[in-house]
Amino acid sequence: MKRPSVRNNVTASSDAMIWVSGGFFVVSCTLLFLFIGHIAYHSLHAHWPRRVAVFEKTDGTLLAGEIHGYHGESLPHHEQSISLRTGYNRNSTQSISTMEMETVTAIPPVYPENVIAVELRESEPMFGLITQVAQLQHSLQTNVAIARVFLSEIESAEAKGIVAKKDRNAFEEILPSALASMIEQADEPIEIPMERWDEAIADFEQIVEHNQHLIRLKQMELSGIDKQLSASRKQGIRYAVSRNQSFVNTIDEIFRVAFELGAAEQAIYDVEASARFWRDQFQSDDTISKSIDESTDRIKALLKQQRDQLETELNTLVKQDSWVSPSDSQKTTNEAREFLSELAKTAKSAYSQQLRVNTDLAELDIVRNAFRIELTLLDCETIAPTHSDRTNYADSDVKVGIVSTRVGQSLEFLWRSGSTQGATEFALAKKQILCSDVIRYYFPNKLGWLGKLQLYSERWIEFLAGSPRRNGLAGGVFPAIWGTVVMTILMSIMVMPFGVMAAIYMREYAQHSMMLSIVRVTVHNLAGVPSIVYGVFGLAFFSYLIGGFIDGGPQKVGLEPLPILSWIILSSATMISILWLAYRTLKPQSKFLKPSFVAANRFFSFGLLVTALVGSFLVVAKVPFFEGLYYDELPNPTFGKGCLLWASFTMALLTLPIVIVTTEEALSSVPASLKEGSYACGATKWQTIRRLVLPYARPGIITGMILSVARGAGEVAPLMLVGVIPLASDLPLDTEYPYLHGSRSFMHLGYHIYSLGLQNPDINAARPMVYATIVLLMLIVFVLNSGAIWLRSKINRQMKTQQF
Amino acid sequence: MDRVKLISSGRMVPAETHEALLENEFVLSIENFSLWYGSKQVLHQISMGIPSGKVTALIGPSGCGKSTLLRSVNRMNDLVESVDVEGEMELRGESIYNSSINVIELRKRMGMVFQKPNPFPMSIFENVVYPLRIDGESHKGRLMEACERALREAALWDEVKDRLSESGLKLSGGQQQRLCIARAIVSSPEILLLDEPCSALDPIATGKVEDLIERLKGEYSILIVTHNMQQASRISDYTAFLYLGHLLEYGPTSTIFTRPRLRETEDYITGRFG
Repeated sequence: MKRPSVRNNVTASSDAMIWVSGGFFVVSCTLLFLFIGHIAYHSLHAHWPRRVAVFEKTDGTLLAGEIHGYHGESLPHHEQSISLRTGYNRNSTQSISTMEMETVTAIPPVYPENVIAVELRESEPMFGLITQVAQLQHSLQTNVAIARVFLSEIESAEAKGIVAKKDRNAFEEILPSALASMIEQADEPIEIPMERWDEAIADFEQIVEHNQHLIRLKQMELSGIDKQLSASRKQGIRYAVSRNQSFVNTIDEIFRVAFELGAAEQAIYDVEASARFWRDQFQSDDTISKSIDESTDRIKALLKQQRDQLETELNTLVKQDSWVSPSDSQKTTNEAREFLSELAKTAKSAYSQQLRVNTDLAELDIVRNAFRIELTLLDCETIAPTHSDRTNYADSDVKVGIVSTRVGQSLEFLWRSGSTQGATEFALAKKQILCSDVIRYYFPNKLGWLGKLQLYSERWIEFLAGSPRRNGLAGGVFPAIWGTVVMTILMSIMVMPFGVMAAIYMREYAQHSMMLSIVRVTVHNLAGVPSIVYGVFGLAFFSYLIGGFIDGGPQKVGLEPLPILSWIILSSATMISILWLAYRTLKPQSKFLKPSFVAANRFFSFGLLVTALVGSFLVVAKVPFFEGLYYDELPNPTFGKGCLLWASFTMALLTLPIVIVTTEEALSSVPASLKEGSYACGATKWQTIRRLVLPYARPGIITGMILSVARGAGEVAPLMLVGVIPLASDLPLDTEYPYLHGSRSFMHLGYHIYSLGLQNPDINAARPMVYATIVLLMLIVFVLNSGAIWLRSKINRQMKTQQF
Repeated sequence: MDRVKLISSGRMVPAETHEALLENEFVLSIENFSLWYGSKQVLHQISMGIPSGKVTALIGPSGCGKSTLLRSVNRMNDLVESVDVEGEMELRGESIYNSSINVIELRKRMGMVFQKPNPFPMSIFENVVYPLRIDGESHKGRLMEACERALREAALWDEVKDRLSESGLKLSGGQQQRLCIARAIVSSPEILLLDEPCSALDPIATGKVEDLIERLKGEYSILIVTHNMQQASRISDYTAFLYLGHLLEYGPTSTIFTRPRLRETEDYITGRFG
């Protein structure tokens, strides 16, 4: 026989509250799922490639773009509208435009198969048709750059009035026209025939990629030189600290003259190259060759004169006496001179190296700009229709849409309208783009599922691993992910020991007193203080005060250093009171002492404590021997501004109350019987805490850490004051020594959402990125949380099992 | 009931200590020991000696101070704030309440088992060797040896030898209490303090623990607090009867339970009051 279900009997079938509570439950769940669903839908949709539709409008213009929605489908026709992402648009700053349904002639729109979508590095994507693929002759252009040097040197000499224009010799007379014809020749692009477009674009991509690699290498070289220069400048200023201001001025002068000297030497080198080039050009012509040699000698002489002048100036700077103070001995003065001439030598070579690299970069730039694709854009709002002979296109089977025709080697696209009888054609706007600006291109109306999926994953990979482009409107958020993670980890490393130790003291060591209760209530309340308050404090205290102190010592933050003798007295007094306090605390004390003695003892201890605290503050804040660690960078702040270190400190401070409160709760949950058992075994307090209390309280402590980590990952308000910026070029933790850069500003996902979503003039363009970033942030927090919850339950399983 | 009345009115009464006790050598001697919680006096000038190698039971009605007396022996009362003591206790001639004594070292010479089993949230092995660990012993072999010896002495070895790495909390109540006893005896204490060790256990587990106490007798000096008269009579050699913080009668268990000298003792034992 089947037993009646017990469950049925306890179901409160007649209880009205089941409906009330159930209703609330359903509403809450619905809201939560709506929230998650909304974000999930928008973020998953964000990178999905859409087709590009072309609309013909009643005023005779065209508009192409990705359809982002139809509005008011239930309304009368004239109130309906379409949201269209038109991409690159010369007429609007908004990337999504709304179009009245009335103004459109053809619904549904046309989806031409040959439309190409080009994602660009620094602008909105373009939707269009390829009309030309061309290549500039970059070797000719490089030649032009070399050739031009000669003319510009002559012209600058003439402009200065050193040489008269009428004295030009035969070569100099024909130089401008020769150069002009060369430029004309070089600017003529080589068009690639249509059949070879695909192949050519692939080739271009390869060349451009290689070129960009070379450019990166050169840029790295440049930044290396920059570092070298600033390092030697710093070295100079460090050396100068023991001397006077005039020495610093001399150093700056030396750098300026060294730069000019480097430039002059480079100019001589360039003119020689230019002269060689021209000589090759006019090899056969004897008279011209002779006059080339003549003018080369003249210009070189001028330049050399200039160089010699600068060199003399540099030598005078090293030898001058303005910075020599009367107290200097001959030896130290000579040493300083030696140092200065060394410095001048390094600076000169660094600057000329810098100029050389810059020349190389200019050449690479020419190559980069040589490869072009011409697109016919499909947003032709400003283009007037040009009625041409329609019989030309009679053979085309296109009724409405784009028809193409060959004009010479390239293609011409025209629009055949559906609104008028027969066919009307429009000329469409053209736009040249550089291959090096192209991130990727695809044919949106030809893409199959597989292609779309590939593109989708490509975009997500760029989103997760790439750097932001177009001020964060496109590209990736990797720096923000990295910044968030690094900051959160640093914050946890800082807050956990402080919070846990403070809680241990409060719960295990401190005696119950009024003072402790006040502290506890305060800490509980601090957990609820608005985070922006911590941000303001962090900026004022960490960044400006402590950061300023680190940068430039006590004077920088307005503290007068103590005289050395009083500082020594104060620091010894502080030291003694700290040692005395430590001795009094650590020496074994009997529990059974006379009350009067205890009271006196307390009073004395309190005095010692105050001395120790105030003393240590003064000893550090008014130290007379500390000039700051980064005085040579001043007035540019190193730590005296918002940066990773202070952001982590501020967040650690913000989460400290949470950690203390949760840890204290966890500690208080440890049964007294366990602790007694441990004491009875002869364990000391600390042994009991370490071996019993902490392991037992670990789940609770980890809860505190979860809360603080989730807070650190999600908080925005204080961070924007203490070091988070919308776009950071450097990562806070990278492979460059010293790996962790505490003084760098960084990006943060939460702030990225804020700055993209609210600080951006074009919210429509930012929306996909905002949603994708939101979902990423939520995922990170979910992963952190669930990882910690899993850890906690694992520990729980280990720790607790059935008691009886 | 004159003594009861005297005590109730705040007077001192002399303890009735049997002469048979004097034959023994004492591991612990208590002299005129008084204890206050704040202003409330809980122990009144208690003087007694705990014989070496014997089981001594402390009996008395609830609140008579027997647990407090036990906890005073290893100075567990220090953990309670506002405790004051007077008088003397000596462990093998060494003063317990001397201000120069190291309490931690003192507690290491004693073992204590509590009313409720309190195994630590760690493995059985770690539970047993805890006192050695905090003493700085980390040699795996020596720890293992000590663990096995203690568990064998606590009659738990056969039950747990295959699962030493399991949590001590997974054991049954009786096993947990024997685990706590093993923990208390692993460092060979000079005296074993048992604070109502069976009060939270079922009869079968109680029987096992009592058997264990019988077996430990002779090797260890045991001071046990119990509210269970039968238990006291079964396992102890000597019994002390405490009433409202006063020691009333102290003598060999057989005498106390058959021919008590005081009427109060007899009344309590026979259940007429308490």
